[in-house]
Amino acid sequence: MTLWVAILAAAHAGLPEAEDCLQVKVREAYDAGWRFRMSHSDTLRSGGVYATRALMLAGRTYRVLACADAAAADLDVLVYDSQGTVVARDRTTDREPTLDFTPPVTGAYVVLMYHRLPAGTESAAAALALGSR
Amino acid sequence: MLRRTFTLALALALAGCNAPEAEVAPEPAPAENPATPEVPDEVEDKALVPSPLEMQAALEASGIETKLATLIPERTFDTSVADPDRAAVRTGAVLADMLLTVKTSDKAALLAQIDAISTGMGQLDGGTDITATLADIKTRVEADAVTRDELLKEFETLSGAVIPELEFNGVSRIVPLIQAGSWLQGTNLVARALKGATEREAASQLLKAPSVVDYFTQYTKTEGENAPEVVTKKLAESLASLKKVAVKTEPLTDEDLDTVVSVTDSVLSLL
Repeated sequence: MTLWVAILAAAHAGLPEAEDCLQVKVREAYDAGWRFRMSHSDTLRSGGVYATRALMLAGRTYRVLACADAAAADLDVLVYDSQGTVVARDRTTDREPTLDFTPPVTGAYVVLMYHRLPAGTESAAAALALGSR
Repeated sequence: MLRRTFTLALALALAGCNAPEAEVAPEPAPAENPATPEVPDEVEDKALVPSPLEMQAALEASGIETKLATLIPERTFDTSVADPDRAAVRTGAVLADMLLTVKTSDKAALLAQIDAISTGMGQLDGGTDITATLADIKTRVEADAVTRDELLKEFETLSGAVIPELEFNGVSRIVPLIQAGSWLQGTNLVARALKGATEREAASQLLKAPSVVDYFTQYTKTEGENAPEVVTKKLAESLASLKKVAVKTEPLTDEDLDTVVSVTDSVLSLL
């Protein structure tokens, strides 16, 4: 457990909140049969984004789970195709979005998380995981 | 932007340790005009490569019941080799085997795989923490103190979340080469499975992933400090052959599958 303790010790104050939230969601999803390929957490400025490419296979369903800490007003997750066109997005205004996407064709998509902060807030922590089943 | 690795929470979540209880949140209101940010120029590839378990699941979803674990050839990967490129690819291949067999392998075989990965992590300067984590897992396996289902979750976390975040003494190519080892092994097994299948078009998409091939190829073009040229040259040649198959738009033939099997066999054997 030393590795994990060391990582936690280096954590930004808001990150544990976002990660704890995501931890619960991932565990529940895992128990429901989802397999998780990656996870990532970031501290993002207002309007800032985190993006990663993901190979997605036609016919499988992909689940993007994300959580932001209390400093965030609205966390969004979006999926883009290789042309940069949005092919899936969550339309909620909360900070714990879940997005399912079944790609029509196999290929490299971009998964992006983005959040807007209340006025006067410079940054907030957010965590994201990508799973499939 | 402050960025950090995120392994603790997910690791604990998958390992089934204590975690905060989920709060019941009110149903969020839909946004009428949600913002649509542009995809930034800088996009990571953290989620690009599918794991061997995903490959297995995709096969099954396409109607192919073959278990990849049953197709793993007799092959011993010496992860104690000094050359980091070889050690990384071999460690990745063992990791793939372990993920695919953890639920069915006997204890001795599983312990040998854990040892091989631990040795590889040592050769790659993965750090004492990952070594300690693997030693802890080994102790629990030896004592029959962990179920195979729990182990599967822990190994999946190690593979997908913990190892990719290790620094390996600043050598950036190590993580992609570990991933390459896992992917090459998974690809080899998928091609073997497809050879005997009648309806294989859907699952053959697993072999049509030029973006993944390109991702690995870029790391064969960066100079490794101690990497013998033969290693990167062989890997680059193999990836070039796989790319020719990956970009095909027509159904894959037996010849294509033979190519994938022989190319991946060849590179895994050499490395």
